[in-house]
Amino acid sequence: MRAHWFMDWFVRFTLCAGFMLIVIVAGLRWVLHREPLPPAWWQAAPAFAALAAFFATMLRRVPLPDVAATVDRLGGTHDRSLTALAFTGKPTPFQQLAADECRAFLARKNLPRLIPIRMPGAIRYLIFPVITLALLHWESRIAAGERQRAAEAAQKQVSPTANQLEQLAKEIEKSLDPAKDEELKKLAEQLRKSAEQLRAQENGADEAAKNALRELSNLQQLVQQMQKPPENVSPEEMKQLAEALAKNEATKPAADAMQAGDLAKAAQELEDAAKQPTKEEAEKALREALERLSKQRELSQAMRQLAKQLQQNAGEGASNEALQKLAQMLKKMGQQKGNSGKPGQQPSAEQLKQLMSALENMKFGEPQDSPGGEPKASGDGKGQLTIQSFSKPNPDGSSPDGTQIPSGQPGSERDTGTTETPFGKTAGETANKQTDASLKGRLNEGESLSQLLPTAGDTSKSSRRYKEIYEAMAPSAEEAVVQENIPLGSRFLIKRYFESIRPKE
Amino acid sequence: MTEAPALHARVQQFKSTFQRIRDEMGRLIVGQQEIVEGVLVAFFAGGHVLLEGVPGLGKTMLVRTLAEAVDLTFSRVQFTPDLMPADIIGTSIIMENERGQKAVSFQPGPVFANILLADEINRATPKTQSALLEAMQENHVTVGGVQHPIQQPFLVLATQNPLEMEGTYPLPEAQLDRFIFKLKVRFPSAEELHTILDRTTASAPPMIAKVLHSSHEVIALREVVREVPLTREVQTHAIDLVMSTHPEGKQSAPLAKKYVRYGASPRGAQALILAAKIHALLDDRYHVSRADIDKAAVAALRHRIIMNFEGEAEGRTSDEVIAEILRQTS
Repeated sequence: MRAHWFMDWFVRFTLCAGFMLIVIVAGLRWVLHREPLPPAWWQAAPAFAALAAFFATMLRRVPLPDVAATVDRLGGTHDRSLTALAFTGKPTPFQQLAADECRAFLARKNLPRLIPIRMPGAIRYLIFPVITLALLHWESRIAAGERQRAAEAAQKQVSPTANQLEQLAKEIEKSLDPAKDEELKKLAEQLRKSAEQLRAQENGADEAAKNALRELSNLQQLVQQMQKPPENVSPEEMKQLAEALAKNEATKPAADAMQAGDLAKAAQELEDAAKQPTKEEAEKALREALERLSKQRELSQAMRQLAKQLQQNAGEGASNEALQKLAQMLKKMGQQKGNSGKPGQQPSAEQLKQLMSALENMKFGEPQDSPGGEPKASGDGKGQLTIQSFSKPNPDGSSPDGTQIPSGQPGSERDTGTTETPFGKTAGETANKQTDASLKGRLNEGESLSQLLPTAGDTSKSSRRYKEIYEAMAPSAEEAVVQENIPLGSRFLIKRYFESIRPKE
Repeated sequence: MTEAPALHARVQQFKSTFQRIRDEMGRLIVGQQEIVEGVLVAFFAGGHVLLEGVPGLGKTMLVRTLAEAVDLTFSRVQFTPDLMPADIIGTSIIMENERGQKAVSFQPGPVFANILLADEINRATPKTQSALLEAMQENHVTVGGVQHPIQQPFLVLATQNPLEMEGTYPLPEAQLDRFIFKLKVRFPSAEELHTILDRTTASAPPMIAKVLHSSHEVIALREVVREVPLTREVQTHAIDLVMSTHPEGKQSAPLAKKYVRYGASPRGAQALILAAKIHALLDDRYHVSRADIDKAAVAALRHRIIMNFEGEAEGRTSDEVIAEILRQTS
């Protein structure tokens, strides 16, 4: 009878454990979005459920008096089992006599045959958790297969890009001295890291393509940052400055040193020139050189201040002081170069532009010239890097076909429009007075072009209202947002920009 | 262990005595085995029996036969509306002794017998009926401030006619509770009636042999009955039965909730246990089982359950309530 009860409760607890397993597996599968359980877990789960049910059954053992009462009820023994159990070891003679009589009676009775041990009827309900668990397992395997196929498709999608990135990284590492070219080394590591991240994609081809674009955009941003010269002085500016200094005999050695890229020597030469008595002609030449440089659009603030100081102190013997300041600036630039690598051997702008072009080609998936589908990159010596671009960009960094390729970073694109000014090509006198300024974007990323239109008095009144201009240009702007190949993450920022400039009602 | 054979002998003696008395009564009482056995169970349990049946069913014959079989004193009182308590329990009278001196002397009534037949007890006034209360429960009567014990064994067998209810005084609940059993005497079947006629009209009635010769034997047999052990679970079963008769109890049966006004008293549980012990001995067992309790349930509880107006109006009986309780607890 106890075995019968044991089986009964064991089946019940197994049922409970089965349903708990269903809840756990369903929770793992649907709520937590976990991976499907390993096959070993599926085999261990029923065993664990059975074990838990066994222990639960053991803890819920039926007391012997209940067993005896049930035996008496089913066996028609007139409570002899119960009495025998209750009166065993009792002191009174009548109780002892009753217990003996009960035991003798029960010994004659074939109770096991009377109450056969059968499997409880509830065992048929075990089929429900078993089938449910099997279905969940089957569904998990299907989902895992789909996930694997998606990962394979993603790998197939990003594998060429990752290979190209790795090839670029190899070429950069092979061509440069890693001990000295820290920035290039960092760039190579970044390329390799991006390739690894791309290879880790498993969320489907579309998502992988998006991630590849993001990685390429990040690399573009990194290269752009490397292209920026220290102290905001571009190589062109340095070239102009050297040409201006070369016109004067006193500063010609410094100009030669600057053209050679040795900024430290140029600074030394300028200091020597500053110690010599300044001639009127040399002072004039230096002033003209700095004034011409100040008109350059990307001239640094320091340069402008220097030119302004020379203008204010013209004829007062301040050129020596200006030369000293210029020498200090060049020293500082030389030190910054020295920090980034060997002086005069910083990665050239051409190299970085070629790298940028290669990244853009990878980004837009243009046809590749190399048969292996990888960009050709070869180093012809230490410190030299030549990367053959798939679509060679213009010298100013723009794309060859004249379109501005979006980088995928918010605020990094700028639309120059089809006309030079909002008023068309016929700008009046105000066009001559306009000045260009490079302003920081909203997110501190990239640059935007703004035009300052001085409209003093009635001399330059606008002929059209701003609202009319906005309404006239808004459709084309929206059309451009829709039709242009703009990363999804940037569309929101562009729309928000147009919302911000909308005229107030 | 040395006491076991003696105990076993006592039990066997009880069983044989019971069966012999039953057989002797069966020689005169045709059929009515349940009534005979019920009366004997009540006799050995030390309780009193209320017999209910139409006149002429042999109730008085049954009691008289029992008294002859056990060789005990027997008295019969025909209850009538003008019956007074003193007519039952006795009275004190002034008597003159041999020396001519007068003294108050107690003259015991018919209650001072081992077996008292209170015939048609519901025809006496409540005052007279209550005269039996003290005797039935305390086994003594008080007359003139003096208690007079009644010799043991003392068995009251009361009868009442369920048909002629006009001019009767139904027994109060307090007195009904003092009867261990209420037995309903059924009308005999045609076959049994043939036998009754053959025995009573064709030849002289058979002689009843005396099985017990003294009241001490009866008392000894009663002690054997009370020694029969029962487990806690069986006792719980008896309590559950009694509790189920109460309409306001948690274990009450649906019929009890609907048709019962008052349930059985603790005396009902006592009656169940005592009767069950005798049933166990008669079944060659030394312990009480739930079946023994169930067997005594109807006779022991039917007169302790008071039906409400709805139950009376719908003709429900306490037997139906008990039957449902037994089905519920089995």
